[in-house]
Amino acid sequence: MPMRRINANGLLAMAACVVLASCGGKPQSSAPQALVVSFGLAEPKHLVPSDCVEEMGSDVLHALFAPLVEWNDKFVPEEIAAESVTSPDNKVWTIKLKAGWKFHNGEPVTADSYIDAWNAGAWGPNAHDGNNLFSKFDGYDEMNPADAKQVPKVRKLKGLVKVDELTFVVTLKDPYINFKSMLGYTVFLPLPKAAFTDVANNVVDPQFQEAPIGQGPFKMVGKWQHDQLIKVVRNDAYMGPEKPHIAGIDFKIYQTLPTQYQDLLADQLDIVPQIPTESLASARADLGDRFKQNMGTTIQILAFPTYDRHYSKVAIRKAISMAIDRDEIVHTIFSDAQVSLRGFVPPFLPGSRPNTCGEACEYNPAKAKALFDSAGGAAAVGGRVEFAYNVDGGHKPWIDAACNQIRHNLGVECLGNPQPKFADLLRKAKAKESMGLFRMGWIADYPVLEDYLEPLYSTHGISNYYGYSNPEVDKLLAAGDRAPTQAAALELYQKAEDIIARDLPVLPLRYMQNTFGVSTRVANVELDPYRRVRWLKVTAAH
Amino acid sequence: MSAYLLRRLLQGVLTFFGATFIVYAMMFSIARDPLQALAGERPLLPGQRAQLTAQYHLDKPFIVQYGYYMKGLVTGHLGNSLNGRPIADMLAEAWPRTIQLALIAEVIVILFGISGGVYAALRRGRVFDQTSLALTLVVIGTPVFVIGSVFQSVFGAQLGWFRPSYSAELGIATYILPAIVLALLSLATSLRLTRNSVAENLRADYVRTATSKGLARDRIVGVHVLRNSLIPVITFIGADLGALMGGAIVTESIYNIPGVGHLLFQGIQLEDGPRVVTIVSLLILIYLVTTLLVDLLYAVLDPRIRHG
Amino acid sequence: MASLSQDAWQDLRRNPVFWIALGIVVLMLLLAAFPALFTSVDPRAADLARSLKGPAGGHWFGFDKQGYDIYSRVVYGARSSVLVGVFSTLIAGVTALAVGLAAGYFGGWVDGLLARFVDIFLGIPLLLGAVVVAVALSGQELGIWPVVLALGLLGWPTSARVVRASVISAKHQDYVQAARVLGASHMRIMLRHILPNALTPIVVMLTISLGQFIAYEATLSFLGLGPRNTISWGGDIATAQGWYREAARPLMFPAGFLTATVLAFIMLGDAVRDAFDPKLR
Repeated sequence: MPMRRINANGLLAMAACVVLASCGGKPQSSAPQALVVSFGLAEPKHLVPSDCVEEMGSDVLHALFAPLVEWNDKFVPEEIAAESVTSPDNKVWTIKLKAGWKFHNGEPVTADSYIDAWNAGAWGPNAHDGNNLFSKFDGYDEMNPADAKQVPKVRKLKGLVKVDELTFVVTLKDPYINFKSMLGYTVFLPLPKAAFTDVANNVVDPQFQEAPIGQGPFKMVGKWQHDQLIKVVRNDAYMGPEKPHIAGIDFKIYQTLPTQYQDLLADQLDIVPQIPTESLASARADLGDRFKQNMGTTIQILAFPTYDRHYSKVAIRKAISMAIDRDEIVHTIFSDAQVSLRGFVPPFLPGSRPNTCGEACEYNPAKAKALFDSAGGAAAVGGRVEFAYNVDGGHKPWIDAACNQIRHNLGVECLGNPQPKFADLLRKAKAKESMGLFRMGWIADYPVLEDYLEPLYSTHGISNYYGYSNPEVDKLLAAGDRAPTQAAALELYQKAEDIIARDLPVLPLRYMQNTFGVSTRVANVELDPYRRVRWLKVTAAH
Repeated sequence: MSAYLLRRLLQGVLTFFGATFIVYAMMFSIARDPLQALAGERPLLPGQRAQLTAQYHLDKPFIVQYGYYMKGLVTGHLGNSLNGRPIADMLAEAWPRTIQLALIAEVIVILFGISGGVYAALRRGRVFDQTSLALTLVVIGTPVFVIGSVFQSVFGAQLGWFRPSYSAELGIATYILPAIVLALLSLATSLRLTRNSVAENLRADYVRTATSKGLARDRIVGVHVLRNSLIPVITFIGADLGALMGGAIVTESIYNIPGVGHLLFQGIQLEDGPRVVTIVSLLILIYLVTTLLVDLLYAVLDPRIRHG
Repeated sequence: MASLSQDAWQDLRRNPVFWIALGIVVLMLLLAAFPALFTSVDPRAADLARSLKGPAGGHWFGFDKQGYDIYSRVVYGARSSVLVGVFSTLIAGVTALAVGLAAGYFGGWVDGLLARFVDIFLGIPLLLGAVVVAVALSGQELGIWPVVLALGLLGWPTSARVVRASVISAKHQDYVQAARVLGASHMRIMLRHILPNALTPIVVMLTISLGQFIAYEATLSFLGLGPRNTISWGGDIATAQGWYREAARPLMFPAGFLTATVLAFIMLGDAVRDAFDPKLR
């Protein structure tokens, strides 16, 4: 599955998320307030739901649209725009919509609004970024032939059938226990008829994203002013269970994170969803109780390319892992705004267990050195260890720190291997070029254990760039997807995670917290674990 | 004179094509996988890749791609950037901002560089000369990103004299702080050039002659020395306008100005050849025009130079 | 001519600015050539436990974010910055002089051709060129040399135009006309009579360029395109500037050394030029 990935281009490179703690205070009465809240954003790539798998675009789309389901604090999907999402067998899913919903242009929201949008997303030639989130749907393969240059003959998903104006049925290729959770993702939002120039051929109007029309709590004012501003105001006709308290949101587009932070200090910007790493230490003093912190679901890992024989021994990988003092890096470099990760999923997700990585993720320099030397020492890794990273994401400080620890603890040369962009890391991985270990960040599309395992560790996982393959893991993950109950599924996923922990294809390092700041004008600002503001909770400060 | 102008215009066309070719070749040489660069950390599906490759002719050899590009440029169809937006639209929005920024910076350079340089030369070795010398050295020796972020933090966030970032509603005032930062480096150079050039001319024979003839010192400096001293300074300033616009890469990024420098740097990062080449072509055009003006100014400043 | 250089030397010997500047330049060259003479601390030895700590027991300048010894970093960082400054300036200076002299002196089609050449390179912003070269060579361990070449090969056109302008101005001077009438060769006229006149602006331009080149190296590091695995003042400045509100020391020391070096080269250039300037006599 493709995922909501950490933005590669610097800005929000370290995502963050939230929940818990900090944002105190009860929302006041629902009497509308005049406040327009400004929010720091990087330029989104696209604003068509099925073409949006990045954080910037989904920040905006989740103000303009309401999802079928939304995950609550316990990561359980709850209906918002859907009346119900049910299935007898996890394979054929019936989705009923709430009645009376309308798009901002007055058009009623019907089953067709979803069917049309999803067909366009699944239609190969559209090349939408969210395309392969539809790959579990029956009929996906016919719309995405292996030879990508051929225009597929089938234009509609076989597994997507309208029952009545407010009901439609999704048939999957195989049972999938997490389907309802998946529907909370941005890609599965609906589109009005106005979004299409040719519905039958899945053609979306290229101008639509300049002023998207949704059915959510806010609506567009004017057009997307590229590199500058996206302006939305409260939609008084919004049908959702909660209504916004504020009058509107100005999504102010920034080129760099430090500038957002300077604007926050000058009280010119209301919400900065991520404090830059370099300012974390001073932010507590700068902002006082306007500095907020809570849990997020982004993880950072270092991957071992399987094509590089230097790292083929588990003992070598384990020694490198044990020579890195995660806690010290988190404390000194990140001012405790991130947390050491000793498993392969964020430790608060349902089904996650603490420390699945075991001894391999415990800092133990003496044992690491002994292990390293007995596995062949410096010669075994070709004389030196390298950490490849993209320079546009603010990763140098922790890469340098980790490398210094390797050099000191293992007595082997360790060098950072800076590449201009994440794309360069991918290109090298595809070409099987030697680059040492390389860093990756991951934030799930939907908060289930499986979404941290299947994309990264299954043989054909979409983000398994390092070539890890273990048939046992593939089997367990597939069996988990088909399991009849959540409990049974989690058990199978956990077994897969245990095998991954033994094989150690990547080193878990940290998961990130949301560290954000707010101005003196706003209150009750909460970020969800996917780093999105809960706009319906935000109010003016007293 | 008109023959001279015609010749210059023809030369300009040659330069223009030479430069676009070099820049296009440079961008082509660094483009490894522009489509993946655009996709960021997200995987690119085979279907997407095939679509976009065909759309942007990425599978064609260099010279064919260049041909497509130049054909578009000459016929006024700038085409789309790799992110799908028309390059013409992006430039139409971004140019006015960068031009305003660069012009304000240029005014600062001319005002303070020349007047400061003349004053320093007249008071050679005195307090103003020494401090301005020391200050320009500090400026030259400090990377622009350090000055930019320190000014933003001090004059923007802490003192509140300026907004820390670009705000369209402030109009031209929003460019003042970034223009000062952008101007500083050129200011240092033009101040030192003026100072040295004036100081040297002050020692020239014609000044001694004029003084001995009883001409007023103000008139000697104001008319003769200044006119003779300004040739290298004007050369520098004229050539510098284009450099100022290119140098806006860092300044625009720090002050969040959605201008050409931003588009340019983003274009390099995304290996977006057409966008970078278009921007640089326009930079070259501006440069060609300013150099023409400078050369014409030579003739005014130094009557011995004739354009025939 | 011999008497001129003797006079110049007499002049320089009495100039305290010359000695101070020379002292700094020599010191920087020594740091660049033999860093181990000045410190026994490994500049890559880091310890996060002493991150941003102040000066203590032999660590004169304290520690940076990574827990590196700042003094040792500054000593070992001199080499990259000095190499960039000196060699980029040499390449740029020689190119600028050759092109500017030929264009200004010969005029006509030579000038036209060279002017096109200058225009092409001048139209390409230096930073853009440096970024492109850095991107093209990124991932290869060539140390500081790609930066040197990029800055040197792209950093000459402004100086070349300044030289050309001074040459045009100088070649109309009476003594040049006289030399030509007397049958002096082009080479002799250019080197003996015109070059000295073009030296003032070019020395000013080049000493400034030298500082700019060193600063550009830092800017490349800021954009994430600095030389790989090479200790340099620019790289350390770029790293430290993000944290400067937390601790200024890791920024101030490399920045201070960089500024002092730039200052010394410019003052040295000024002093030598003044001493050789025939008009001063």
